[in-house]
Amino acid sequence: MSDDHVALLLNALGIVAFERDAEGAFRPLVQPPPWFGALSRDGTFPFLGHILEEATAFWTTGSNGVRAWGPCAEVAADGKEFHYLVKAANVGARTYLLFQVDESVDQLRAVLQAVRSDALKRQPPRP
Amino acid sequence: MIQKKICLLGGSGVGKTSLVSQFVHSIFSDKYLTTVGVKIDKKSLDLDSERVDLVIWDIYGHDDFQKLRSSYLRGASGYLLVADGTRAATLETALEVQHLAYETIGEVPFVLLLNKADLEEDWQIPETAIHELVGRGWQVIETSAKTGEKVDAAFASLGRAMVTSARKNGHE
Repeated sequence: MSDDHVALLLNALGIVAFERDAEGAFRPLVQPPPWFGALSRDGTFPFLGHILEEATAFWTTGSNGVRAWGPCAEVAADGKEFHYLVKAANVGARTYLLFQVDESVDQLRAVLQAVRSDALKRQPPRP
Repeated sequence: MIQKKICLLGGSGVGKTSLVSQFVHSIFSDKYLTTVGVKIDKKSLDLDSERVDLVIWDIYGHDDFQKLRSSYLRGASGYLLVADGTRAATLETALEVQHLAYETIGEVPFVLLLNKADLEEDWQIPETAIHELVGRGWQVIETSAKTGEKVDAAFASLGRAMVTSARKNGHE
């Protein structure tokens, strides 16, 4: 599969993928899409904090599988908020850091917005 | 340069996101938009001769619909505990959340913010409750995300407490 096809597939899935090298640096599998600029422009992710520490611990186990953290929220350049999951994957000897847009959170948010707004309106009157 | 992760914790609708928005972007919106998951922001804080890079985790409100997950707290050097001064019940929620935070990350600096201080006429938190918490050694600050009152001071206060704590524990 060509890089172009990989890029199309990852974009369609809302995934930005980085391969982690032996020194712990991250190399994007394909050019990240514009929305990712809200998270990082230089391939470093200090804002992830302990997530990266836990991911590193997972990567060093070498056991195949995926771990996920989130959902996290971010505001895109157009002002619209989006949600994403952070995933660490071990695939054979390769290790990956993935950011995946999670549109299912939009539904959850709509429900929570409705019930919380309603709860705020029903606050007991001041004594 | 020192980097510290801090969390904003408390019930829903108390103004956690508005406090961060005021502190980071100097913006306030009256529109209530609930937070799902965590919103991560960054801002540098100049404290006397030191610069602290804050990584701010604005975590969804703890309530009957969603309980706080301890995994979000890991790695935090401190937190702002937020209650809504116009809703006394949110102080109880803040106390519950503080207990959970203590169980998860231990004794780290925190500051209790009684937010919406601009709504004086609707204020529900009695002075006695505040005195009782101050008596326990808690730092309590009345803030308004709407007017910006004491918002910067609250973040700076937590920043100083974290720097002091790190020095005391020998791992700055």
